[in-house]
Amino acid sequence: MLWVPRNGAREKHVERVAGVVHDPRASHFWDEHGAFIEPYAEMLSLTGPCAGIFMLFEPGVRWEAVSPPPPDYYEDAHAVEFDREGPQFDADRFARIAEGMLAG
Amino acid sequence: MARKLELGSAFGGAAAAATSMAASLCCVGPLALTLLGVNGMILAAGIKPYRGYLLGASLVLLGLAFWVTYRRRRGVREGDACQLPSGRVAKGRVTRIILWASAALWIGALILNLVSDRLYASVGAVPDDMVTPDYVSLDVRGEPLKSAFNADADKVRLLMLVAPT
Repeated sequence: MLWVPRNGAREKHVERVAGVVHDPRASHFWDEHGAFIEPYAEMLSLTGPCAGIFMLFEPGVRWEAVSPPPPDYYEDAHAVEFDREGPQFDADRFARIAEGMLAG
Repeated sequence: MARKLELGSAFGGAAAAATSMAASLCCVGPLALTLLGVNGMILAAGIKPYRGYLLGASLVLLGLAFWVTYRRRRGVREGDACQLPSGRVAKGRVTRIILWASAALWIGALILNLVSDRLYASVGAVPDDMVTPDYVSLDVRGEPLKSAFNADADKVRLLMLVAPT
């Protein structure tokens, strides 16, 4: 779970809402310097103030370069709202894609 | 002066309604997730600690609006004009409708706040006393997430980029 400094967000906001994702398998990070959000904003053409990007990476994908790797699949919770390129987030569809990846 | 009082009453009622709605926004749990999406749920969770203050503020505004609307006006003195300007009665009715609708909304918000914890528990949502999970701030190179990402290179990884506002 990568909390990013978009839409006026600051670190204090992370403390307030991180409990929304309480699955013990989840790790939480705060992208204080934009090391993730800025490259992905350019890579995925994230117009508008919000993030809301859900990305899946296949086994074998590694982050070796300065910029993080492009996702193998992603959906955007604000695709329609900000007329972005990616598919609008659909929980059921995203779950099916993830299950397909996990099944190999 | 009378027009200012009417506007004040209507504004107070509307403001009370707005703060009541804000106080309730956090309390619909899974319904909020369905209707608002993940980012909307995060917004609602952010409002949750302030719901008591929002309800209190809206009650004060509502009380003020009712007082302004229904307080006994000073009696008409000899020589004063008694006939109200046209439209004054209709505007007063609209103000009262807004006020009572706001009062109903406030009562609904109060009920929703009172039952929200029980509703949360029934659907397995996050309880209020749950400890906020630890989080780590990344450095300019993206560490330690970069290392964690590569450490699980043999697995499918899900990464969610979400603003906490």
